[in-house]
Amino acid sequence: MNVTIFSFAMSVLFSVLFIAAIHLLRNRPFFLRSFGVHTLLLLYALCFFRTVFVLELPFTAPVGLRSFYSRVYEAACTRIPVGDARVALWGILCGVWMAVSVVLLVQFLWNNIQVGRKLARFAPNRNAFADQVLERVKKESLRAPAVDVCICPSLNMPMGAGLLRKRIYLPAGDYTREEMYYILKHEYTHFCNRDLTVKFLVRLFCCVFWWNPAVHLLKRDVAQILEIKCDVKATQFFCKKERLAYLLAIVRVLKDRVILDCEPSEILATGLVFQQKKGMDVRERFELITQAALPVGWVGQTSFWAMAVAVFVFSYSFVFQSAFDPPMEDIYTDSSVGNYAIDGAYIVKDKNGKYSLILESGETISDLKSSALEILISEGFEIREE
Amino acid sequence: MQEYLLSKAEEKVMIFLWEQDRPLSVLEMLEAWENVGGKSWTDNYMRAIVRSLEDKGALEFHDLDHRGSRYARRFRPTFSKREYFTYLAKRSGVKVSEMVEVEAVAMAQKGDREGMQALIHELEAIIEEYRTRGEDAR
Repeated sequence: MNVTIFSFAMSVLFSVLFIAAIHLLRNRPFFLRSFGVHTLLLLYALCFFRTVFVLELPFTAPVGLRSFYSRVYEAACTRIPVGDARVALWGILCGVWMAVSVVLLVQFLWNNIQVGRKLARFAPNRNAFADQVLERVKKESLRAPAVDVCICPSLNMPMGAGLLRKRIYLPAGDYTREEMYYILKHEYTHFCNRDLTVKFLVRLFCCVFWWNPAVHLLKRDVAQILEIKCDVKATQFFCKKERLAYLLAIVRVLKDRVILDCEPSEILATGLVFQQKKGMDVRERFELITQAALPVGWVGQTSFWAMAVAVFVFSYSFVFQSAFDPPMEDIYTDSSVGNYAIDGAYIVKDKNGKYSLILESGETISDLKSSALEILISEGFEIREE
Repeated sequence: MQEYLLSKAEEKVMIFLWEQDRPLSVLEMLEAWENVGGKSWTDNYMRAIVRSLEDKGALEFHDLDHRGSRYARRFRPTFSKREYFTYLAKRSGVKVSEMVEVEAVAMAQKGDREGMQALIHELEAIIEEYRTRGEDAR
């Protein structure tokens, strides 16, 4: 098992292909309703594994590619003068990769700390009514992470944040008991599912593989899948009436967004850009909550996973390598090779320091090449001085 | 609302007074503080914080507490908890865009007003269709 520039290229190639394939599957409503979000999340985990573990396994077969692939490899190995030293281009590219990754990671973590500090100012702004409803939500949950709820007037939609100090931040709006219950249920389910940790890891992943466009597609897809997973989990034991109330609570949150955005606030100054995809995301969630699941049987599940694992293993089964023709002098053909009986043969070193092989028959092969001489000496041939 | 820059200790006292919802003297504050299980503060420390809050205009005199031969001033907050945190939000509050940038989970994502209105109509139609649907499988 070893890591090479070729295994790395294969990892990039397959991660892009896998992410694109999962994206296509994820956009099929039938797939989500049949296989569920857990299947998608497991596929993403496989994808993550394929991107990070860039190994050539013992069974990996090299496949030689000429022309473009070889030219790219040659270009990557070109040595460029950097100060007094000459560094390969791929070394410089790795340096740029590392430097940008570090900058993005620091920027991301710094932003997290800054926003965390700002949010911490609102931690004492508790609301007895929200606390009461949250207690009810906690009692209903099997997993009960410690979560606080507080009011943050600058927000215009409820949000959950905090990897260590988990808090739900509510805008300053007045919610009915029912609305409050469904809002807190949704946000609390995110904490129960450890969605923030997943999102955090995905963001770190994006910071490291910033140059890979597929990773950013994965980030967006994972965010939506986590929302769907949260909806599914939060509403799994709900009757139709409760589902309706849950959906109405989401609509209420969206309506509040419209009203609050009308106020001259700092939020409006940020100039939110509408993305059609976002509207589709909420619509997709609504459709999944209101439509019954179409679970596939164990045969379907097994077949799907067998196929997925086969494709995954297949991705490790070969590695593209650049192919080059060897130099002409290294090519041996029948005309350049002869058979000799070497019993009783010995090597003679002449006055000029050149070596010859004297066979038992008296035949002489003069002017031995150093490579041939090394082989003969290693075979135990005697050397005589002329 | 004028600017109120409160320290953490001052903010703690203010939140305590808002929760008590009645004017209190320093002595009454200390008694009530212990009753609610708060970390005990010395008489002098509490007086210093109350004085500082009064200087900043966060507390105002309400009436006198008469105990034996001694009188103590009762204070009440000059602004509500909601006003304070709204001010805080305007001054240094976090924005939705920032929350989305860092890792946060929200019930609904961002969008502009017109787009949001259209989306709301669509979602209400989905809900209505679901409400009128016969089966109760979902």
